[in-house]
Amino acid sequence: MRRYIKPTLRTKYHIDFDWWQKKGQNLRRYLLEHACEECYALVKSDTEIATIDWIDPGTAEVFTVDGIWHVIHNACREEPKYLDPNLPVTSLIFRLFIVNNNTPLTPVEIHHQIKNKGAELILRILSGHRVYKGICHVAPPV
Amino acid sequence: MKKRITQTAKYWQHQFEIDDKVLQSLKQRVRDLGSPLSIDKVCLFFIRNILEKERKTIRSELQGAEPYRPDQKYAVNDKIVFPHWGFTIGKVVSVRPGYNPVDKRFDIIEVAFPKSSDTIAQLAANIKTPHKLLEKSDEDDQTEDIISISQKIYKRYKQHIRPKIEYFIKNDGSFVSFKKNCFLKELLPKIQEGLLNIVDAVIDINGKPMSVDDLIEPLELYPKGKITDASRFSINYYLHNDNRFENVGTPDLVLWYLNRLRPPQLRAPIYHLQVKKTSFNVNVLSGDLRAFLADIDDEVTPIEYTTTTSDTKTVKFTLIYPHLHAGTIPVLPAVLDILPTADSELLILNFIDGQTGETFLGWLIEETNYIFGFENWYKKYNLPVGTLITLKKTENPLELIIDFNPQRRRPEVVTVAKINNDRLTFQMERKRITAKYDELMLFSVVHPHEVERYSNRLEKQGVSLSQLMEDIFPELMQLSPHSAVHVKTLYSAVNIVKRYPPGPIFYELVTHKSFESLGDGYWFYRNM
Repeated sequence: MRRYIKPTLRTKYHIDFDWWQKKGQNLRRYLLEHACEECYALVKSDTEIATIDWIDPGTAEVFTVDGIWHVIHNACREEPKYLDPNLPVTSLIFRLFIVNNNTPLTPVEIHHQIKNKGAELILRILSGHRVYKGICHVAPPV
Repeated sequence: MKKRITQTAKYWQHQFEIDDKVLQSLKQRVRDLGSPLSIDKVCLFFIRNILEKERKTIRSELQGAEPYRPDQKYAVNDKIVFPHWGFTIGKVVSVRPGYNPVDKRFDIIEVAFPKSSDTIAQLAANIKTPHKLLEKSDEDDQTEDIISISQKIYKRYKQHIRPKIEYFIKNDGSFVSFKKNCFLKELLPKIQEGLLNIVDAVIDINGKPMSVDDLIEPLELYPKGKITDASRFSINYYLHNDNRFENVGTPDLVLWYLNRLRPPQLRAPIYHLQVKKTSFNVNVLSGDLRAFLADIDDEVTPIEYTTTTSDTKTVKFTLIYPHLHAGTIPVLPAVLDILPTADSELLILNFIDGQTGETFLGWLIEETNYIFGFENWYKKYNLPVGTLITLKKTENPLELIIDFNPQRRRPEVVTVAKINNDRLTFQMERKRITAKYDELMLFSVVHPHEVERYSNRLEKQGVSLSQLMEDIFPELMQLSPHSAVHVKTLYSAVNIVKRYPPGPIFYELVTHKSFESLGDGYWFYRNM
């Protein structure tokens, strides 16, 4: 069980890949929703794209992640409208973590990158009981 | 990232305690040095000891474990410590190859954490690409100099650490303290009562505050011909605890003086400088009156209505009667700017007469707004009310130059204030004036004792400012062909008999029906 902490504006968040595994949710399908047209076509046609060993940029923990993550991270982040402010806020935050390779960010740092949503609102969304798309606060495994 | 316990405010606020072992080693350190330590140094001593102890604990807990680095190669059974997870220790249970398109090939180690129910984490090892954990971190670098870490901690948590140490030093019977330093009681040289009597006599003969070094010499308390910090501390400590002596210096310079040499005028605030009425409604004052309010530098006028001088080395002001009579100078905001910070309730300053270079003492008591000690100086030059006086800063913060601009002694027409038929009256006389003056505020007061008696009588009768102005104004009007009186002249004249700042005087002018403004600061009185 994750150790409870009271999140604040200084708490770091990221996509918790363990959450996707534990919940038995299909990360590949969700990642495909965030692929640009070009990547989508490429990934759809290539069923051979294997998993990769993704290294957490903060802790160096390794997670086995669908290879689509890498494709989207490299190609789609260059799309000018990838971080479209009209997207739902949770999708926008998820995309932000794809773009920065899941580097942990605080609600304030997230707000600085997606300016149309305030840091307080972001904190309220991320710190609620419901976990959106595996976006959780960073907690050490021990 | 979890911090070490000593790098949290919570530790220094609630958990930090003074260890007897560390205390003993502090005492030994003071014995070895043979000289006092500043409280700051004592605080750093305790912090360093705590940090060293913490490091030892961590090292023993690590039991040979190496700090985790993602670029290192690891084998099964290797022990690793994770500084970024609160120095948790884990053991490698498996190693397998890993791959991703960015980092290419690397190792994935599975690490078990026995203290956390054998939780397993998978971590990267043998990577060739940069990673945040490979960057140097100030707080978790085991090799960083413990002295500089102590200083950083002290800077950050001083407000929690220092009061605890000060309280402890004060209540521990082994230490004695003076100002920001402490010393071991056992190391204080024994000083006989007779030696303190010599100090008393030395200060008495010199008649001025003396530094501890100047006092040590006659006491011959300098082994091997050198004045040590220990002998300085000891003398300061003994004098501080003897009621005959008082420290009249600044936080950086201890100066000793004798209580009994304090002028008697310092025992209570000087009566004729006391101001009873200071409040007034500034909003009723016209623009020109507000300008004069700022122009007349009065120490009682609230600072927001005054103009501050930009020159921080020199202050100019006009002498009014209460200060001339009491032998004081006002502590205006600009004067305060050039004064040093006092270390106790009395600050003794050395004044240099700008005309002759002779020196004399000036006394500033905390919470009064005047400096006493100018009676002889005013008498020596026969300075009138209205004299323009200059105070200049010198390189020595406790020394100031007081001066005026001399002028040739030729007779001039001067307004002389006298008590006639139980009234303050004014008449023009030819007199020699020795200094440059403000002609609107110039008065010569010929019989100060009669003025004092008159002033005391007014006080007893409870004469109001309004009544006083109604008495004085017509007298002043007779001096002018147009019967006009300037506000600065009125202010200077009122102050001959009673101390009032300009604000309440101006307020009376505006609100009293008999006074009428003629413009440019001149007013007229119509007896209704």
